[in-house]
Amino acid sequence: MSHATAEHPAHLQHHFATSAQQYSSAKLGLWCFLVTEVLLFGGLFVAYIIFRGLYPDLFHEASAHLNKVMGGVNTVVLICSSLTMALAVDATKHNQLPRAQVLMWLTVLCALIFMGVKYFEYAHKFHEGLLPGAHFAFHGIANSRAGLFFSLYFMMTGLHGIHVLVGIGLILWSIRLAGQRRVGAEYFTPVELTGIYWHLVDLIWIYLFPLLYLIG
Amino acid sequence: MSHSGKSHGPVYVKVWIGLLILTVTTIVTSYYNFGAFNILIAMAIATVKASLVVLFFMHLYDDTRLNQVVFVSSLLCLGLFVALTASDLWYRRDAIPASAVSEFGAGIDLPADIAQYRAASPELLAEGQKIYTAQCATCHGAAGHGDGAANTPPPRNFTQTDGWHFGRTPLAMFKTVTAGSPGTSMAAYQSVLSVRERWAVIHFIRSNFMPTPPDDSAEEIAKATSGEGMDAPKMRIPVDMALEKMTIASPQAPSLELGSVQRSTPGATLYADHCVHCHGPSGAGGQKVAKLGVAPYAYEYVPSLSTNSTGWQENQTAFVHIVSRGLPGQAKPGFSHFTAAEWDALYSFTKSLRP
Repeated sequence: MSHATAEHPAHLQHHFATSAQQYSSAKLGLWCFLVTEVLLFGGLFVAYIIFRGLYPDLFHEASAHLNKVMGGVNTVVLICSSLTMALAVDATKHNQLPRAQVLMWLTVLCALIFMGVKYFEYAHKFHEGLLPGAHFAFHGIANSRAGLFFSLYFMMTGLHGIHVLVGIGLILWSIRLAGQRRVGAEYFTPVELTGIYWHLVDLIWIYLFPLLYLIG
Repeated sequence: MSHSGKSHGPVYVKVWIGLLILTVTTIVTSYYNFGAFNILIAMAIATVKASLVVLFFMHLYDDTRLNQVVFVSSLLCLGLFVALTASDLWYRRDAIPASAVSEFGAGIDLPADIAQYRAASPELLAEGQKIYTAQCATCHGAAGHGDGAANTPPPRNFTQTDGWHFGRTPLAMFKTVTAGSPGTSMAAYQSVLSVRERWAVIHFIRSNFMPTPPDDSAEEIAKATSGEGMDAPKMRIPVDMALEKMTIASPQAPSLELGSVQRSTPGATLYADHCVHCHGPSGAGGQKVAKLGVAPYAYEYVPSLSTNSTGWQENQTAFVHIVSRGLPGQAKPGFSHFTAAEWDALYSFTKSLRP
C-alpha cells in the first residue's frame, strides 16, 4: 500500500477500519508478546530461585567470581540506552526525525557497549574454565555443584544477550524507517513498539544484575 | 493518529536519574549484611526500578486498562509459578507418619526364623529366583553384576567381593535387604517381603552370584537368635570418624563443643559416641549433614530434637524405631546394635536434653 488519500493514510492496513484501531491492536499485540517474554525469563528465574534456595552457600561463593564492576557498568549503560530510546520515540511523535535518528544511534551505541562488556566478561570466564554445563572446568570453588550456578548464569545472561541483539536489529530498522520518513507524528507505531521492547530488555537486566552479581 | 501535547522529555530524565540512584543504592547495600533481608532489599529496589521503567518509559501509566491488565496478569502468573514450585520443593519432607511407627518389632525382625532359614533348600532357592527376577534384577542386573539401573551410587555387584558396605555374611545381607541402605536407592524390603522371602532371595544370590560367600560367625548367630538384637555390621571406618566426615561446619549451627557432653552415664556415653556430631550436645541440631552416597553433594540440616512429630518423647518404641532404622534418604543412619539396657539408657538421656 504505497498510495495515500485523505481518509486512507499510507500506513493503514486494509484489515483495520481506522488508524486508531490499528494502533491499539498493535500495542495490545506487543503487550501480549511481553507477557510471553516475562514467562520465558520467568522459567529461568524459577530455576534460579529453586537452586539458590537449595544451595545458598554455593550461590554466594560462585557469585563472587562474577565481575561486579562490569555488571554495574552494563546496568548503567542499559539504563542510559532506555533513556535515549524513550527520548527517540518522543521525538518521532513530534516529527523531529533527525533528532530521533541521533537518539536511536546512541541507543545502538549503548547496546553495542553492553555487548562488548559482555564479550569481555564471557571471554574471561571461558579462560578460567567457568563454562556452562558439561564443559565446566574450574577448580577454585569448593563445591562439586559449582557448575550449576554458572549454567544458570550463562543461560540467563546469554538469552538476555540474544534479546539485546534482536533489539539492535529492531532499532536499526526503526532508524531506517525514520530516514525514509515512513514514520512521524502521524504514524510512529514501529518506533514506539521497538522502544517498549527495548525497555523490557532493560527491565530483565534490572533483575538479573542483583540476583547474579550482588549476592552479598 | 497524531500525538500533540508536550514532550515527555523532562519526565524521562527524572526517571533516568531515579534509576541511576537506585542502581547505586543496590550496589552499596550489597556490601552490607542484613541477613535474611538481603534478598528482600535487593528485590524491593529492583522492583521499584522495574516499576519506573514499566510505568513511565513503557507508558503503562497512561495506557489503556486492557494493556495494564494484560501485563499485570503476567506477573501474577509468574508469582503463581514461583509459589507452587517452591511450596512443592520446600515442604516435601514429611514427618514420619504415625502408622509407620506402630508395628515395631525388635529393631529388625529376626530370631526364631533365622534358625529356620539359615540353611538353603531347593524350595527356598526356587522361590528366591522368582523374587530376585521380580524385585531385584531391575537394579542389580539379571546376572547380579549391579548393571541393571544406573543409580548413584551404583547397585551392588554381587559377583565381586569388594564394595559391600554391610558385609557379605548371610545375617549382614539379611539386614541390608530388610532395612535398606540409607542414602542410596536400596530400599527397605521389610514390608515388601516376608522373612522367609528375604532369606530365599539371599540364598539365591549367594549360590548363584557370589563366588565364595562367607558364613556368619558363631557369635553372630548366637546373638541374632537370642532375641538381643543383631550385631552391627562391621563398619568400614569408625563410627565417629564417619560422623565427623558427614557433618559440615555451617554458619547457622552453634559451634559444637563435643566435649560438653560429659560421659558420666552410659546414656551420655552412647550419645557422645553416636549422636552428638549431628544432633549437637544439647540436641539443638542445626548441623549441615552430607548425604553419603549421593554424588555430588546434597545436604540437609539436622532438625532440633525438640521436634516431636513422631511422638518419640512419649514412646520409647517410636524412638528405637527411628534410631535403629534410620531415616532412609534423609541422611540419618540407623544404629541397631544396642542392647535393651543401652536403649533404655540412651532413651532417657536423649529425653533429658533441652534443645
